[in-house]
Amino acid sequence: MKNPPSEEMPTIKTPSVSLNTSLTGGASQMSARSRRRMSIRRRLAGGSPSKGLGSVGEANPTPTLTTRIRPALIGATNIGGAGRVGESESLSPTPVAGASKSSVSIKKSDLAYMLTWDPSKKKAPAPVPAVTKGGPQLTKVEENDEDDEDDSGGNAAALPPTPPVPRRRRKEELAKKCLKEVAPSVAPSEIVKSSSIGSDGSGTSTTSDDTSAFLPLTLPANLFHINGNPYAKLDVIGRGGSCKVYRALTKELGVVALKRVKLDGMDKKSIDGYANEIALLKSLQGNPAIIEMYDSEVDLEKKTILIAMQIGDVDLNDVLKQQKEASRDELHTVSGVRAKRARAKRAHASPTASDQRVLVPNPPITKRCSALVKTSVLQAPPPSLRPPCSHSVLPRAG
Amino acid sequence: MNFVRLTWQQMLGAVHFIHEAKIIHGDLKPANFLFVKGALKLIDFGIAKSIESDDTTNIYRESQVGTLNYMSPEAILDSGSGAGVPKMRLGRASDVWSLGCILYQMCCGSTPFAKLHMVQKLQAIVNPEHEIKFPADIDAAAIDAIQLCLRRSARERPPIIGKEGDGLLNDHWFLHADKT
Repeated sequence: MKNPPSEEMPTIKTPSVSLNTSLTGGASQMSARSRRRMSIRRRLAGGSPSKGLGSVGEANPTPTLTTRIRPALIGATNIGGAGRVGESESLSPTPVAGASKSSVSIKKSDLAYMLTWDPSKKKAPAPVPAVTKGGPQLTKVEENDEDDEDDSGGNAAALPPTPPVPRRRRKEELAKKCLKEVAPSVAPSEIVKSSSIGSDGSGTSTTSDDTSAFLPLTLPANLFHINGNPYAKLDVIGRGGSCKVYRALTKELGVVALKRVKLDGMDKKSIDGYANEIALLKSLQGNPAIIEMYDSEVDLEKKTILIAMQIGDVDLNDVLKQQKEASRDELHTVSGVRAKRARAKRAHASPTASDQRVLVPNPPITKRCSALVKTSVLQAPPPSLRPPCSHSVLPRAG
Repeated sequence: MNFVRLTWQQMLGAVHFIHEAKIIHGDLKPANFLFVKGALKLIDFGIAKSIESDDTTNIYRESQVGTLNYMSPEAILDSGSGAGVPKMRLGRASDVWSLGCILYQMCCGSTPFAKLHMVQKLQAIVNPEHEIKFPADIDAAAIDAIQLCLRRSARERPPIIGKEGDGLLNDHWFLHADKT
């Protein structure tokens, strides 16, 4: 159950929140799904998760967490509190045993399963403040705290702004507590393993800082590097001659236009030309009339030039094309409407001999014209007019 | 029409800026202007050009045909000239010609020489006798601006910002209705 993107989210500081969230949604569909599943299960589990949250709040009192939890707690804590007093001693052995069994399955597959075990966990940590518990448990708790601190180092910075983070943190902590609880009955070496699994997300996120910033998103083949900064290819937005322009994602989750020029088979002169262009672009930066260039690199080994630029909406060429097409369509409709009106006029005229003359050219027109005109021809004249029409064709044919 | 005016104004501004920086684009076309959040920005400073000059097989196919429509007479004379003919220099006026072609396209739907075939096109662009025609119901001020830009002689074309009341951006009555 890896969800590295969820872990990256807090560490990456992005200006645009919307992009950020949308990315993580797309990036980790699996984890998003699983998260949803979890939340659903949590809800199904009833008050139990909120108990778990309560214990979290007690264990390390973060104001943001507790305030958010409070509404859910109001109902749950009563039950939980009542349960705790009576159950804490009598039930504590059984959950531990159960947890040890479940721990195997937890490690292997399902975080959500852990969440269902939260209530039992609470019962275990709840006694801790009472200090009536044995020495070994206390030491374990301390270990836990250390773990928490380690992990919160990454989380704490991003804790206040985004609501999903606390959730995640809860999960983590819950998971850890599960593992800790399990720990007493399991060998210490296993604890280490399990904790590493539990904090898997954070582990990967810390180890993978720059090069694999997009790992969950992309294959290495879909990454560009400009001066060491990775860019993830999104799609091709333009091409010409020996260059391609991509839409690409930066590490900071901004979208840029990335132009790649292949220098294969180019002489030095044209390469210099490109270098000159980059220099020009650089020198002209700052004017609103000039496209912004963020970064560029000439890679003589790979024989490519990469330029990261501001991305635009549409170029003037496309606008003019669209206008032309629009005006063409308009012409069509205008002529169609005119034809329709003409038909209507004729239809209103009295069906006399002159009318026959007018109607003669109709058949060929219907053949040529669009369906719109056709229908107008067929529908506009009242049925009474049709006979003369067909009659008029016959003599002509004869 | 107001869209055309705004776009024209921004195009002139952008090109004037690079001219001030002593850069002549030499290959202006609509594809070189990009709308970013409603503002027109200049992209590409001759990358396309260097591609074309590099790949000779492409010149007479797509890329060159595409750009030929905006090519100034002096650019054609320049590239087409044999060894004996003195080379003509591309100047700021060449960019003004290209801008004129773009304005024509914005007003009339296609470039002034779009309908002609290759050779005819080359000849028509160079030939002062060839009259550039306008469809009916085109704004008179726009026509005037286009005609000024499309003067065959580079020297007769107006500057973008003029000091003698002849600047396309700061004086011409297409953008300044009060000046006629």
